[in-house]
Amino acid sequence: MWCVPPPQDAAAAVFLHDEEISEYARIRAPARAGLWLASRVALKLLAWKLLGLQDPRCSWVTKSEAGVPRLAVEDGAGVGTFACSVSHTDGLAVAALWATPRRRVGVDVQKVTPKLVFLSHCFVGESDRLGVPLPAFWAHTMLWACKEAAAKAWGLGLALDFRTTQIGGEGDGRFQVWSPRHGQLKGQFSILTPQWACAVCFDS
Amino acid sequence: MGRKVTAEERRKIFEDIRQFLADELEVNIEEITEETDVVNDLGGDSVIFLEIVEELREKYGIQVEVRTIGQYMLRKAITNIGQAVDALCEVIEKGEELVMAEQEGNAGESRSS
Repeated sequence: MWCVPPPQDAAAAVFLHDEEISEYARIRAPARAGLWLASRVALKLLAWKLLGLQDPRCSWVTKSEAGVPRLAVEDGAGVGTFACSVSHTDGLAVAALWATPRRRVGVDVQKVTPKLVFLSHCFVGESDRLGVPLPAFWAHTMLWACKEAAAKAWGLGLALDFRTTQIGGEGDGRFQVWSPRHGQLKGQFSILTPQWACAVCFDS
Repeated sequence: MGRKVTAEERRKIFEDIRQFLADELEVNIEEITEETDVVNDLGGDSVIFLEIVEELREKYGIQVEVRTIGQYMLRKAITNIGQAVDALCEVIEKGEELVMAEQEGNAGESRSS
């Protein structure tokens, strides 16, 4: 998790690969540029911690043919790619990285909103259980974050059938995701005070 | 089975989306054009897309599921509002058949990464 600083081109020069600098420069909205940059910084700090990445400018986010993001890391031996995911909203960016090749990971952060209570018919199924008592606004936001993290791990976005995808909470923030078409993932959700719901999903 | 979307209906859908985004994201409506990128230019997210789809489903009597529209948008690499409007018009015209035909055409393609 990375709290967003003001957009800083100096940070971009330190953390971004040349291709990412071009992408960063194309983002016109300053707030969006700051969040985008923060998500990349968070991802590269994870790569430093998990993969031993020394120079963040030698890694960049690319996408598979299916549109799933991968972190490409270049070292003396060549380029390796790793499952990664980023999410940002309302001043907060998060990132997830799986250090083992050929795995899946998805992360989502949402600002708590009553909108998702009114949209619940689009994504909540009868079997969904977080396993933790939460007020309605929080519960619906968290369910959406869990399902969107799963959708990102599967590379589906809004193409996932959210209503038939079930969340089974284990009571301590850990959960399982089942989809009739796409299989099973594990996950972990967290409340990031004061107002964010965050979830990560990964291969079981 | 869907129905033909007229040029006037397409213009109305664009104006509806434009107004919706201006209200929800608190931006000047004049800044929103067909070329505007909802995510990169306006800071929109998946919940905004969900809201737009639901609003249009209700307003225009679109019978298809959100998932169907999501599947179609996944294939088309949509980045700006004009492309999203065109995609929605195509979904209205062809309904579930559109995605079913695409799925059959891509039956051998793997989505794994």
